[in-house]
Amino acid sequence: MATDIYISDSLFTVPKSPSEKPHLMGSKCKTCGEVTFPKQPWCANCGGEAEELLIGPKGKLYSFSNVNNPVPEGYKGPIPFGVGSVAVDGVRVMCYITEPDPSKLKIDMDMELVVEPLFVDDEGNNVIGFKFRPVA
Amino acid sequence: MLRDVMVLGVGVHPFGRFDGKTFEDLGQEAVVTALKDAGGMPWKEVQAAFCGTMHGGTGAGHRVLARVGMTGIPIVNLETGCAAGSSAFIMAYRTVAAGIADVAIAIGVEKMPRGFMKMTSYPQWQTMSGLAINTLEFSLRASRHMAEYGTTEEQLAKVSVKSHKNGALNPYAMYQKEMSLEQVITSKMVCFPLRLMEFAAPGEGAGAAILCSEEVAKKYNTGRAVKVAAACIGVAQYGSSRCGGGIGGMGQSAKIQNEEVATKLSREAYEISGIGPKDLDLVELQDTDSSSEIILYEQFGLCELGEGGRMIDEGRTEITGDIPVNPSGGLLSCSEPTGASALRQLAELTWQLRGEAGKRQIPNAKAGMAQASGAGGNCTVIILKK
Repeated sequence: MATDIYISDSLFTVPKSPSEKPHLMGSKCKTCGEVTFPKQPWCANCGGEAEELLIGPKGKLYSFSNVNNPVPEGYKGPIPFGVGSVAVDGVRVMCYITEPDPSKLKIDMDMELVVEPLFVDDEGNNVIGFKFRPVA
Repeated sequence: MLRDVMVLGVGVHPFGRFDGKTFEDLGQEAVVTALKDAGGMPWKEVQAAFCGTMHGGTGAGHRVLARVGMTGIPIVNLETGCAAGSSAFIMAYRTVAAGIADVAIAIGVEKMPRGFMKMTSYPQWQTMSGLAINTLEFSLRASRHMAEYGTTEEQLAKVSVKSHKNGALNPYAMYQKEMSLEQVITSKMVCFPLRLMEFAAPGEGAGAAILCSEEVAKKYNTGRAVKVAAACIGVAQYGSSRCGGGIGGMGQSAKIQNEEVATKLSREAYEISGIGPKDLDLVELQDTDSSSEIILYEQFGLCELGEGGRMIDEGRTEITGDIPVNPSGGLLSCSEPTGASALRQLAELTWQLRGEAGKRQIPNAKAGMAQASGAGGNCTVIILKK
């Protein structure tokens, strides 16, 4: 029986129903207001104390690329796959994106967060992570 | 008050693959060559040593320098990613400039594993998401540059063509062969828009530089010594594109836009030296990939923002152009043994300023700048002058 394995329990929320949207678990500085992802207890801008803040699920594509070769170590999913830098509530997140073909992507296009399987690992488990996909 | 510092001798072990040689063999050859180049300076004259390496392990500099004599001087091993060699150079520079030592040596040695670099500092979630490869940092920046300024895939490929044209003239380069635009632009896509022939390969090699006071230089061979006109070092600050680059983890600010580290350090180097971008006769820069070179043209003020692609189209950075960039063939032709790479750049400047660069010689070169970028946002900018 395949089980679901999440790449982390402190990066994103997992929707409990189809109507619920996932969010990224970021943080916001109490002093300067900078938003960071992943969440951290301090601010990389000013060193101030930061508090947790759920961000997304909407974002805008800042830049995009894809991975063709070599297969990155530790990743066992399909190749090529898309990679983007997506601006989400003040922070640019480098992430897996569902569209591997650069000709179908455009800077500044609307993106949305999804929580989906990345690959099936050697033991047959579904490895689940977060991705962004272009909004249809 | 800092005093003037001279580069008296340089030595480079050619870059490539040397299965029969150890890490220590490579380093020893560079050190011995640098001492000879410094007018036959005896090793006991050297009062401090700094060794840059990423893969060298414990006591890297100690293991190399034991081959020339353990004279009791401090040996400091340091890592600033691909800027390790130039960081060692800057520490040696500061030690001499401050009057703490009259002679210091900077060495950089590397024997890298084959294949794309393994990134050990990425968190597990990035590794599992397929994001733990440093090529992505460059490709995402290149893709944005294309969208923002209209830079083309052909312009990116032309950087690699130029580098290999120069590398074919450099006996220290790993790839001493010209490459056509066709060969580059049809090579395998690594990460859009960057192809295999647009990335520097890992390699093996070593470099060394002997830095000293003007007095010591006079004693040896004044005619061939060149002066350190500026030596600047820093790390990309929060809110700039290379902040945290190559070490994984942190996202980037979409709100704050601080000055890029290479922009800031080159500006500082121009101010300190009184040598501006128009006064430079050559530049050696960190072309880890072809787009980095185009972006650095802009950050150094060699052209306006967004005009980098045009510079390569117009041939301005060829050896015969008005501002030759990477006459050595750059990292794209020489390969990049990380710790050694920046010392090879500095040796190229030294040879060019002395008029000893052979077929790559830029006539009458009087001032040159070398820049290195390393993981974590490390950056160094050094100007040498005749």
